[in-house]
Amino acid sequence: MDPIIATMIRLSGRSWWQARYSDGRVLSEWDTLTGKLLLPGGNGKSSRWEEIPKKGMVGLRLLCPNGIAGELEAPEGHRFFQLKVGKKTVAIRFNGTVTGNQSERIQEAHIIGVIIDAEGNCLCRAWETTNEIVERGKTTQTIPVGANYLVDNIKQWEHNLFLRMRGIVHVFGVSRQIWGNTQDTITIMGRWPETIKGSPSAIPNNTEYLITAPRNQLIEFRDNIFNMRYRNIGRLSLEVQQLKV
Amino acid sequence: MADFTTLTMEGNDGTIASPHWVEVGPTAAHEVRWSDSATQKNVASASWPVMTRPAATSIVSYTYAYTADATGNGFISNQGAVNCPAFSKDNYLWARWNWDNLGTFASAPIFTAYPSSAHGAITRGDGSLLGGKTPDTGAGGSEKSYLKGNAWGRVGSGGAPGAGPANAPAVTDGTVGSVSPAAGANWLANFQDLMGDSDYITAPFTPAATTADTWSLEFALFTGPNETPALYQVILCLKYTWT
Repeated sequence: MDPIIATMIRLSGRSWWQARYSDGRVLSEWDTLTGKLLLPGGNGKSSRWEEIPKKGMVGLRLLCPNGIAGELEAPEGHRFFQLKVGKKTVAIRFNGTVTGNQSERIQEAHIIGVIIDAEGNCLCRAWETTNEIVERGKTTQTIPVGANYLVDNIKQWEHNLFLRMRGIVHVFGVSRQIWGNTQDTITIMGRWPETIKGSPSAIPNNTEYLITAPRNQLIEFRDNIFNMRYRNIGRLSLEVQQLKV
Repeated sequence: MADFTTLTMEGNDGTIASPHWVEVGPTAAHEVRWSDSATQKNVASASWPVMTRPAATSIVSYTYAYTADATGNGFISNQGAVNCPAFSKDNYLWARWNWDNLGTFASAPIFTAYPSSAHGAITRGDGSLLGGKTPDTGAGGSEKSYLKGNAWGRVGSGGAPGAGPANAPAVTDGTVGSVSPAAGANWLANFQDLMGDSDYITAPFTPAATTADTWSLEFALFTGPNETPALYQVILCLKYTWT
């Protein structure tokens, strides 16, 4: 593969499909983007899989941002499918003062598959993009202090938090409220970066934050298009995927 | 990726005769809240009242649709003109998923709930809101979630509900695994418990490609004397696939 394309895929942070046809043609997902720049950059809108020619498609690859590719093959067209799995969530508050889970939308996996028999059994590859929560905390924290390590304790907490949140928010300090010699209340002082919010605004006090780490991996599994067990997907729409079984 | 640009849950804070749909998620600060008080409109989350665990199982009667921290009305409250009415299955225009015409579903969507944004597994019978607890939500080994849902058997363009489900929700309602209403103008006869990837509702249809539409829902929350007191911050969820 062209090293520039490979680099762009890596930088895009997402997986891309690439189809191969019996006449030697190769159709990449970025060739179907609706924008003018037909390269694998960012999360650009693609044309729809259901509109991609399936006749003569004999290979389907999943090009992953870690440099690995998964490929599936079939002797004839109308055997491949491609889909993404995700969730839309709505936060609930029930009892008492809360800083609850946020409503959000996430993509968990990008799947390609090929049907291997008349019963609908299939072989799949999936790029899983689930984020793991590695830390949950509040922008305001109460920490115990001792007479001999008051300053060091605070500095260590501030230093560690700064390192963990660097790149997520712009932290420029902490404010400290002393409650005697047993505990302090410390609040992160900083601003959200422009890339997260429309304009930088101060981080609110006593607000829950989550630090997540991507758990990205390419996996292979066997399933059945009439009742996909993977993430409880259920029956695939044959019409949407233009599958012939 | 040709995902939907808009795919939201909406709650009706108007009336059945004149629905007024407001987004309750997934945009941040939009959310659904429950209380045992009918007067909790426009209350900041920091002041949301604690509910005392009851001596017997009961429904948490009042559901609110919030669009900002201190901006929200009760479901079916005529946009706050009246106090939040107690839950009734006959308020059939209760909530719905609403999507635009930019995406294409690759399979039937699923309606469920998770204990947190980690979308982790739920231990049946652990006493949590979604895990349930015997005897409140069922016999040991088959406990159901305290959160119940119902769903309509077709998309809104095929005909929205004109009446509520046959049966009111009960604290022990639910079936292990997936249930689906019969395709067409049908609710589930009994409510399903919403317990992550364990108990959930699967639509009996894959919505048409690149077509804006809706899927009608009802949901109700119960509590009971054996529920573990805690700060519950669960999430309602649409699991879906797209091409």
